[in-house]
Amino acid sequence: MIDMLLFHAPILAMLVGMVASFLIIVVPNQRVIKVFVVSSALAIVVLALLAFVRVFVGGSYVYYMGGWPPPIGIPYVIDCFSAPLAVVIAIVVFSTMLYSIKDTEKTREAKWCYSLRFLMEAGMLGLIFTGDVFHIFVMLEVVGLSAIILVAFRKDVKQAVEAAIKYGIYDVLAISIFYLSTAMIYGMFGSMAMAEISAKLGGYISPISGGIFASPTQALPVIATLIVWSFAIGSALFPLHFWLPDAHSMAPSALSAILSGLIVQINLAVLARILFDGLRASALPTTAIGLYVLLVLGVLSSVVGSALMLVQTDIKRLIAYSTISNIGLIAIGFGVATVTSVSAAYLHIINHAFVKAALFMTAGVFMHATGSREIRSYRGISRSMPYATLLFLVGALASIGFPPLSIFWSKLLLLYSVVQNGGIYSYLVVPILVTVVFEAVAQIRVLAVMYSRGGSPVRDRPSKAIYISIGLPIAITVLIGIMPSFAFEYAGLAASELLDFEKYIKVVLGFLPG
Amino acid sequence: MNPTSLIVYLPYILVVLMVAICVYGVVFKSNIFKKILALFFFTDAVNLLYIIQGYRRGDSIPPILLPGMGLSEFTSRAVDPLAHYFVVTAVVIGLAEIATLSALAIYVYRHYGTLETRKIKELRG
Repeated sequence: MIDMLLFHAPILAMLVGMVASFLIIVVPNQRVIKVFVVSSALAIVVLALLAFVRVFVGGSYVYYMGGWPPPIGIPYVIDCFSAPLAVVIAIVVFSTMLYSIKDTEKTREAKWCYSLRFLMEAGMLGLIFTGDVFHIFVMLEVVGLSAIILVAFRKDVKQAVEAAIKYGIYDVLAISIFYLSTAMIYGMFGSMAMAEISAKLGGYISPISGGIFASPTQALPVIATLIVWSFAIGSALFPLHFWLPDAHSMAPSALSAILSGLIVQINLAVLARILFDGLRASALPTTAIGLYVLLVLGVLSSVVGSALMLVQTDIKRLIAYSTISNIGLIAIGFGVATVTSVSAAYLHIINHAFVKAALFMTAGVFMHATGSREIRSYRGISRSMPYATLLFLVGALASIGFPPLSIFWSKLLLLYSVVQNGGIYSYLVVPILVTVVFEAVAQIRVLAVMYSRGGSPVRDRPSKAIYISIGLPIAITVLIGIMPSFAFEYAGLAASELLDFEKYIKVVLGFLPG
Repeated sequence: MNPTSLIVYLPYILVVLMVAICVYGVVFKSNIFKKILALFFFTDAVNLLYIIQGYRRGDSIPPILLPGMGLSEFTSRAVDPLAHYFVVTAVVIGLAEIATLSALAIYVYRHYGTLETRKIKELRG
């Protein structure tokens, strides 16, 4: 019985999200909505933890949708790479739900917001678990469309609608480019399952879908570049980042936490999954071009994103630009493509998700209290809201990479990995350190304003639920920071599992061809 | 290039042209509605690519197993049904996209009184 539950847990987590998203619309009572939202979000956290436990104890496994093995059915791969990300998604979404639970009293429309957020959560869980390229396209669309609508949720605000249409057009363009690359993958391999694609690149001929139908040397670089291009828009790497600061700063704060903490990183995680496991980018020179593109975009966006942080006067835009620079660091980690660097990128995804969610939610508290988004209007806010400012302090220090906090370890691991790799890669130390310095200057400038003298009384104090919802990710940040050895070990495990495409094929197909 | 191979490659060239026109439209056209239209042109181009890839030249039939038809005859003559499945899914998703983006465009028009992106500049980007 318990074994059965552990086996089905990841799918149940996704189903709870989907069902909750539709059920909440018909719930009439405000009090029932509150209980329903919190309990469903908590149920997803528990189910994601169960999936994690199952992977931790019993190793990676694959769930065939409807019992059909690939290439006929859709496989869900639950391994050391995807299971912890599911836990991160569930916890961050749970804390944002708790954060905005008071909104139900203010407006009747709040339940639509919860509904779309559950749908988005289910979509994200599907994105990281799936082993099928076309399923990724469908799930990107689920996540993207709900995110677009949520950015425009305050539809009477001019800027929110403008940000949403900008985000909408470019996100749909990104997804369409990915759709184009799925068409090319289908034409080339005759199959959509990533494990089969990877096996066929190694010379496997499937009894159902045959072998490769095109010349790999000509088609593969195009496919790899198209996929990287589409995900670079979706995860806002530098030349394609223009929609992110608008969308993330104009969305309601609870949503900014999800957009900035989860969606952009999940996009990169899925890209890593496709490149490393599906297209064998770490071994094949024809698809490794995708990694070089990723590396260059990562360097550019980490430096430019952190440099633009210095000139921001709006607190949410500042945090949004910090996201761009951190995404750049993650892209560098994946682009270098050694076990150490990928584990650094993986650890950074997890750490950054919690820190960024906490920062956006705290910024929302300040905005609500002072009625302003400008950093200079937070002068002396530490006197009137000491606990919220303390939470922001820990979050901001963590995002700089202050020693005992979690992001310090992932940035250190990234630096260590580029140095360890040697050669031309060791020059990457320069952009990484520049990013760290710029980010430190920008965040300390904000903290200096908050802890200075003077200031005016605030309008409103946050409720207990808000403190809990911000405290949860901050507590995890501190916990990972104090005990990094477990995180290092686990990230190494996840990275080696991600880079080992033969093990992936073996898990999904059940045998290793050739 | 002989005429037969031209006929084989012509649909692919059409797809490439459609994609190029779409990217031009999304990036360079300043009217939001034109951008949205260009996006759907893109999806259609990819749908076309799927259909071309699933098509079988010569003596082909639709992928429907009629009574009295042997399975081997069906598999040797029918076009690829999977490509059609992908296209149907994408068309449904495209409907959701167009509904969402058009609704947003209506709100943009209500707020700004125009759909020209050059005049909608509250945000700095």
